[in-house]
Amino acid sequence: MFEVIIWFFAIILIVPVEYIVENYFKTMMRGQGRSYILQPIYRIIKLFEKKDGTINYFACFFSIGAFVFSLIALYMTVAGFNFLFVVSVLSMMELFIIIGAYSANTFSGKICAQRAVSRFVVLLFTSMVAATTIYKTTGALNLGVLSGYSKSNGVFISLVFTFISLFVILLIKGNIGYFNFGISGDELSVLDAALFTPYSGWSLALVQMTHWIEIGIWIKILSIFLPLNEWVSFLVIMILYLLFLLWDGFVAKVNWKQSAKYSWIWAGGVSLLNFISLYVLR
Amino acid sequence: MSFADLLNKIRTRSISVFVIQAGGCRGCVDALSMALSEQNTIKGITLTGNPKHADCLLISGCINEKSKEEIMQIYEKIPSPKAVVAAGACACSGSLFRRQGNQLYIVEDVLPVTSWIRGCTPDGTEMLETIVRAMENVKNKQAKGERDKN
Repeated sequence: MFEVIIWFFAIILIVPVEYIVENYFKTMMRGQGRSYILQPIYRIIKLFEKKDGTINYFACFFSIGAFVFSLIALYMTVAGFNFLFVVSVLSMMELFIIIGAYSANTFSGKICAQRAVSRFVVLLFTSMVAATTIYKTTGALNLGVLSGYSKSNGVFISLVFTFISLFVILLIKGNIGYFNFGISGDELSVLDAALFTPYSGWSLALVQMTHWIEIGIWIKILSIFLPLNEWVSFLVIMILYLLFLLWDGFVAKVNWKQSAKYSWIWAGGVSLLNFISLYVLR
Repeated sequence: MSFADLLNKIRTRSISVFVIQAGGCRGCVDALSMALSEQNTIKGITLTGNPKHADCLLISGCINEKSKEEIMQIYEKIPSPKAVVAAGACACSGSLFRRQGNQLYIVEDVLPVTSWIRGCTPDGTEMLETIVRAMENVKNKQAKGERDKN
C-alpha cells in the first residue's frame, strides 16, 4: 500500500516536472519561444486567480468531475487494476471534458467537442485491440500481473506493435506533432475561427491538471511493457516522451483531419498489426 | 516583498496573448511573431487562439464596422483581469487610413485600451515589453480597486 501511495503522488508531481524540463531545453534552442522554466506552474497559479464574466456552471461541474475521475484512474493504475477498468474510467473522464466543451452551446465549442470525439474514438479502438492482444499473449489484463510478466518473460517482444500504438495514444493525448487535433487552443488566432471551450479560470486549471495526470497514467501503463525495474521503465518512457515534446517544436502543425488520419494509421492500424500477427498468422 | 506582490510577479510571468489582425499590412503581427522567437530578455509570453485562455488582447490594424462586433465579442470572452494593447499606427491613430465618415475605428473607439504601441512597424521587443507592462498595470489597478472598495 505504501508503494501505491508513493507512486500515486510521484506521478502527480513528475509530469509537471517533465513539462518544466521541456521548457528548460526549449528556452535554450534558437527559434523557440522564450519562457520561464517554471512557466507551467505559473500558468496554473494564474488560472486559479482569473475570473470569468459569465460563469458556466456546467463547465465547473464537468471539470471537477473529470479531475475526480482522473484521480480514480491514477489510483487504479498504480494499484495494478485491470487495464480495461482503467481505460473505462479514463473514457469517463474524457467524456466529462467533451460534454463540458459541448455545454458552451456555441459553434466553436461544438467544433472542439467534435474533434475531441474523433480523438476519443481512436483511443477506444486502440485500447480495445491492445487489450485483446495483451490478453491473447499473457492471459491476463491486470496491470500488476502484466508488470511481473514483462520482467520475467519479456512480453514486450511479442507486443511491440501494441506498445507502439499505445505510445501513439500518449502522443495524441499530449497534442504532439502530427497527432495534434488542435483542441488545446494553441493555434494562431484567426478572427472568426478561434476555438474556445467554456473552460477558463480555475475550471481550465483543473482541466490542465487532469491532462497532466492522464499523461502520467499513460506513461505508467507503457512502462509496464518494458522488462526493467518499475522506476527505470517509467523514467525511460518519460525520456522518450520528452524527446517527442522537443520534436514537437520543429514540426509543422497539420489540419485536424490529417491528424485524425495519422492517428488512425499509427494507433489503430499498428495495434491491428499485432492483432493480426497473433490471431491470424499463428 | 509581500505575498500579494509575489503572486502578482508570478502572474505576469505567464501571459497568453490573443492577437487580432483587424486590417492593414500585417507588419505588426509579423514583428510580434519574430520577437517571440528571438533570443531577447523578455520571457513568458505565448500566443493563444482561444479567448478563454487569454490574458491580453493585442489588436493591430484599423477596425471596420463588421470586425467591430467580432472584436467586442472576443473581448467579452476573455476572463478578467485582462489587458487591451493597441499595436501599430493603424490601431492607435488610424494612420493614413483614417478619414472622417469612412467607417473605420481605432481601438480606443471600441475597447478600453490599457497600452499603446506607436510606430509603423513597431519594434518587436518593445511590443513584448508593452504587453508585460500592460498586464502589470491591470494587476495594480485591480489591487488598488479592491483596496478602495475595502
